[in-house]
Amino acid sequence: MNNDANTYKVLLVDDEEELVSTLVERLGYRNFAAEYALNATTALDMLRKTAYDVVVVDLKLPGISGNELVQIIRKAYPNIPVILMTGHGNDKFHDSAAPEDVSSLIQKPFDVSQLVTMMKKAIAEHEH
Amino acid sequence: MNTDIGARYNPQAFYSEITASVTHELNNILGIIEQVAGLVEDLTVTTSEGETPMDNRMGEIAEKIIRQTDRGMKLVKRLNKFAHMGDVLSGECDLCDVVENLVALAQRFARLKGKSLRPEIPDDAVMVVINQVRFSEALFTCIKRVVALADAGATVTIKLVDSEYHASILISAPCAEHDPDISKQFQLPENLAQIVVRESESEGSIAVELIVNHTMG
Repeated sequence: MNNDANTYKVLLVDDEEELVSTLVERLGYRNFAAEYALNATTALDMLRKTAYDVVVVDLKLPGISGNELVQIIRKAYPNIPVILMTGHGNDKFHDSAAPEDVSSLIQKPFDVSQLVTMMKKAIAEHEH
Repeated sequence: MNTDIGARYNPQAFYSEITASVTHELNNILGIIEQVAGLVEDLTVTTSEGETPMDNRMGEIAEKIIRQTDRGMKLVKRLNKFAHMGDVLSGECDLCDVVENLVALAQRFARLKGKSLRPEIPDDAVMVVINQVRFSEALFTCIKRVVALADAGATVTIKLVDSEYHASILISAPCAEHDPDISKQFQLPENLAQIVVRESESEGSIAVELIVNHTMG
């Protein structure tokens, strides 16, 4: 699944292109081969073509929402951990997001090291 | 969903909805600036002695920061203008200003539905006496409803036209399937504004008109 022993493949899904394009570059320095999609439809296309180790999804996406995308991924790719990003003011899950559907929740704005820690933990938990 | 503004009129809920949306977007902006600043740090740390990889990236990185800062500042100004609408219960204002600001703040709602808003505002001021909060809530409710009904990927046009006795805000969009109950869903308090649900002149579109008398209290 991985490009090499130390590199994980990650898919970032967020309509803020400047956020995800910058994160892709920063994660590259941290042994994550990251790619991004600006909407759920593109993300699902990419998931069909590439085996990702972890997917990071923004809660608020245009068209198919982040919640809906998480539920689709859970059904179609149960072995891929999902981390949910949100700009919501409190750290509780809201709307229809079910805590069991995602590995963890990260609030924007966040430090990249926080995301890296969460992704490593989520991947490790799914490997066991 | 209850869209009867008369029944659900609740300025607190309306303010909450707008401010939650705008602060979400501000979070996104701060998130981008944080990551771009972090990238500068990454590039500095990974640079070997004697190398200057930042030289060819500096312009691009600075542009990102300027673009996002500008976006954030505009958003904060709009939110501040919105927050001050309630300072005066009812008074004279330029409707162009009120409509333009609300449409800008509502863009995110449309974007999250995969649609967009296009304001068409006259160059000359349209002075009216209104309760800006109630008018804005009425307009926002109409916009959200038309956005919900509009075809996927559609642009919703919000056109403000002035006439001798009243101003009219026409909210229209391509819509393949009409909702037969739409007129029931746009009941507004009589003293606020009069909603006229226009039958589309051509098939495949929806148009909702919000009429404001020049001296409406």
